[in-house]
Amino acid sequence: MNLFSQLLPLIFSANFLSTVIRVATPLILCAMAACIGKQANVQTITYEGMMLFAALAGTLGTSYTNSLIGGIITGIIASVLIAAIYGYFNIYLDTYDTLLGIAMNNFSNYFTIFLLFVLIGRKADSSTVVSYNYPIINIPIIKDIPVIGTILSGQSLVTYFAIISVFVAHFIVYKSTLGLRIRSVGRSPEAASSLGIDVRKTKMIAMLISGVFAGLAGEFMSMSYISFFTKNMVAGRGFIGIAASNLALGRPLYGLLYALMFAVSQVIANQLQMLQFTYQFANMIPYIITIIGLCITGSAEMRKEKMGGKAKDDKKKKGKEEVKAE
Amino acid sequence: MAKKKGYTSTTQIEQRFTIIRAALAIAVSLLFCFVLIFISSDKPFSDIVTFIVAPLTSKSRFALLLIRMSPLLFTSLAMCVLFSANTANLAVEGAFYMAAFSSAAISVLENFLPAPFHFIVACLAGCVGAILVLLIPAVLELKFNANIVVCSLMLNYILNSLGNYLITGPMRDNGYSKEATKVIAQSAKLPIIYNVGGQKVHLGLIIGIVCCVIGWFLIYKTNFGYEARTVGQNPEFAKFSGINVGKVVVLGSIVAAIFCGIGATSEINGYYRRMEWDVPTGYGWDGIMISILAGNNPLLCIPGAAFLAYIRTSADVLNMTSNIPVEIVNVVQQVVIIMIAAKGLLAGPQQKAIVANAKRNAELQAKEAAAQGESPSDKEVQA
Repeated sequence: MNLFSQLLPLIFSANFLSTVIRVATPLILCAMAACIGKQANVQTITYEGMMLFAALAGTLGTSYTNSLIGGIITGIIASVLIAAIYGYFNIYLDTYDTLLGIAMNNFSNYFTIFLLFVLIGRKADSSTVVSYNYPIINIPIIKDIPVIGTILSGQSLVTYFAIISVFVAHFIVYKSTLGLRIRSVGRSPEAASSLGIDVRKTKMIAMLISGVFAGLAGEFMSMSYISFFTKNMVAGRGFIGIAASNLALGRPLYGLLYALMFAVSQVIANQLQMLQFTYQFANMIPYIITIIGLCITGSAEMRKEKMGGKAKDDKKKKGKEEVKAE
Repeated sequence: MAKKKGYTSTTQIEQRFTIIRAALAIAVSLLFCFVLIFISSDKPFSDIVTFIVAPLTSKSRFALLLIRMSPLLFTSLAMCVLFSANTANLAVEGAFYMAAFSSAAISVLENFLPAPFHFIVACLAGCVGAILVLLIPAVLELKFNANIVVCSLMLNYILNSLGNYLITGPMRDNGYSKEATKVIAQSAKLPIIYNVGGQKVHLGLIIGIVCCVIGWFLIYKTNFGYEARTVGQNPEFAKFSGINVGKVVVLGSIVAAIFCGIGATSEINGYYRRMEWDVPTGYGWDGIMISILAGNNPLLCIPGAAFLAYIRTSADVLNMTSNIPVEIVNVVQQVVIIMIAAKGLLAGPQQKAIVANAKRNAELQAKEAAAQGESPSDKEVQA
């Protein structure tokens, strides 16, 4: 109880919300990537790997090209490349997605360490390399408003990208021709194919777009969250993004909400650590919340499948309300 | 007619292509490995030679290979059981890690039980730990339809923290400089079967091989194995033919966990003086690669584990003699998995071979029919 009373003032402060938004950045971007993947029914868990590669390529890219833009571009290219490899094997060579996903994630994990060692002779991190970071943006007028200024202004450029990305993802999925195709391919590949849509190509495009979002998420890790690459630095954020998109049923705007929810749990975990709470247990919190989230979506889906016809949608809404209540 | 002389069945061709694909996967990944060595090394040719022959160049290196092989047997076996039932429960990594803790809690007790029984009880404790872990994702999937892959991966992260907590806190021997448990009691240790140049091969290797044989029997010769494979191949069909899918998945997880428990206990009580894993070992991931390479056949896990242990030992030697990081093996491993899991690879040639074979079979059939003088059906078959 004592711990709780210490925690409360920390939670109800502008700094807390500002930290939440910062921590949420990679989760939001990854959730958007996962939302687009989910809409196209490409069930991948490789976002983790994409993010890791982007993190490495981004930070080393800035140092080799000696410019921020160069790093940003190399990072995104690396991530899209991983997405393309995944897409090629999964979509064109019909590879079992779970295995491919695990293999690609582990591949990224070890290959980044390998590359790091070959390129700069260190295995743990790239802190010895001089690299550029994303700039911190102070929004002119907003920064002077007391509470809102602390929360919204003074964040990294990627954070604003992340917020924009939600609308971009929403636009792509719901307002563009491509989105219509992606959704139709995801829901019913046969029907889409009978209308002349190239199912494989559409899935591949969705995968590449996901790659761009995941790339930004990865770059945030090594070019903003901390200023260098450390091995396995993504640490499950890719999976949390997937969980958020699953909870949101692939809808970007809801994805934002769930990503924020996970970020809150992560920040509380960090705060608990500072209050002498055993840090290993605090570290578990985001993962436990993810598992609970998966259980909630899973059972909601199961209930949905059991209901037929029109009752389906009503039930779904009810399920959602329960989720919120919990 | 499938067994008639001179005929090749479609299944046989499929099996042949499975082997070709495995060989191709190993070849491509080794090639990839050589490319990596070429990029990262300053003396690539001698390094590649070292990589190929290193484990066979001295007895102690060969012993090291055998030592590395034994834990791989258990985790690959556990993955075989899970994958046969098509359960992508990836918590084997965490289960192996936790089993090491729960068995170490028993193993460190001095004057607990006489020699073989102490080890057996420690094994049981390990099994209990592993079962508790592996059942979590299985039950969550059955009860709440939670995505088992992501769930088990999240569980691994949680167990990583839990293990770290245990080894730095309650289970730590404070009188020792590193983070480790107390010394494993002599009565719980596994005997050394081959000792050369300081590399002690322990009985765990034999236990692992025996377990693989048991696992093969379990998957291919028992009712449970048949049900598990049916569930694995076609869950809908299994459901309609009256197999209790939930029961099979739970039982499969328990069996896999038992192998994990035995494996972790043998590894700790055979090789280590204290339980000193402060992070998970990665053997669970290795198990995935081996079981895929072995096509979920536990007997083939033995050469599979030997292969991985071989390249691991090579990489270790390279790590000492050159500037190539050990991670090269983990990278190569993933390439093997991807190549084998790619069903579409060689799909064209396989289809051609099946069609050609069907034609040849039809011709053979027609000839036989002609020889027997049954001319009416003859023309139809040829057409």
